Amino acid sequence: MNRVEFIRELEYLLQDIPEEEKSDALAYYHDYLEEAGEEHEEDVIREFGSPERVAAIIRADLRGNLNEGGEFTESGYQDERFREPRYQVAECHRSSGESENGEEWQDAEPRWSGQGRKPGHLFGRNILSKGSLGSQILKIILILALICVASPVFLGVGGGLLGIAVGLLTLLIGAVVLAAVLTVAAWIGAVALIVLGVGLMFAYPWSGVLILGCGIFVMGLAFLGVAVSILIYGKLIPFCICGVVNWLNRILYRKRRDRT
Amino acid sequence: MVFNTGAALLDAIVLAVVSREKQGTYGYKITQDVRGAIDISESTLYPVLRRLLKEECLESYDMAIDGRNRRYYRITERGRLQLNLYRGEWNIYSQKISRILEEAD
Repeated sequence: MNRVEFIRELEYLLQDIPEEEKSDALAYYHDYLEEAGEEHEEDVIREFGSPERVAAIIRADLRGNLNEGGEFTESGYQDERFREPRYQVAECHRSSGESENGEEWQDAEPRWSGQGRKPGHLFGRNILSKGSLGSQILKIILILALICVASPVFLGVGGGLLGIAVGLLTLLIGAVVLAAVLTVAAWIGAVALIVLGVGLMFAYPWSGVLILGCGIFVMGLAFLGVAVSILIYGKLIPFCICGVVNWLNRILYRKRRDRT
Repeated sequence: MVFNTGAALLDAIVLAVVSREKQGTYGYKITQDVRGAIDISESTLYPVLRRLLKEECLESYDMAIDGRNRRYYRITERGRLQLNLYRGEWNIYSQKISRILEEAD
């Protein structure tokens, strides 16, 4: 494996770590191989082990530092800082099965900081739980970033939908109010026409009958209006309110569920 | 080497190596210099340098050498303080160890 292949492989293996960390690491190993010169290139790459191993070291280090902030205990700080990533490194080291050079001091870490305890699974478990904590934090950050990035879209679409909803609601309220007003007007008109018709019947019988007939017709319309109003105010509005309340409930519930 | 090198001691050695170069020094050279004192593998120092940078014990800058960018590392004031602290601790520690080993004679 030559320098270019090594760097390409490493880049592929590190594609999911933060861009800045990745470019820093790649720049470091790239520079390193260039400084080593072509004559040492092969030796250095052999000593690096595999790109997988180098990537594992970089990752372990990232994970260790990610949790650095929250882990200050009386004597813990130095231990926490130095122990875990290095232990991981030592593990990778051993499993890759080569390099006589580095193993001595890397291997030393758990022994040093373990202070008499067996380094094995105690630290192994620590690493595990820390890793999942780290990934959780990462997940939250990702979700926040997604919300930030997508919010203009949501605002646009949401604003449009809200506008349509408000428009429809206004139309509905208008129709409801119109039905009531028309019903009341029909009643007033009907009563007025009937009174007028009855009054006119004595002077102009035919006109009076015509107007009385119109009045009775309008009264029929008024009854229809009452029926429609009862339907609207008695059934439709309660139904709408129930619908809206249910809908809000569902949204709030879902939000709560999302949050937990 | 039969003795293990702890992370703090490795930090101290790296800080010492970097502080020797007033203009700063670069990854490959730091590794070779550290290897003058202890055995480390070629790939060991990246996490160490990265951490020291993060802790602001070191600072880095890019300089063009022979038409390509080389990342240089330089010790900061904070790094110097840290190095002094390590040096003091090391003196105490190494004296105690030396005394015990010599008394055992």
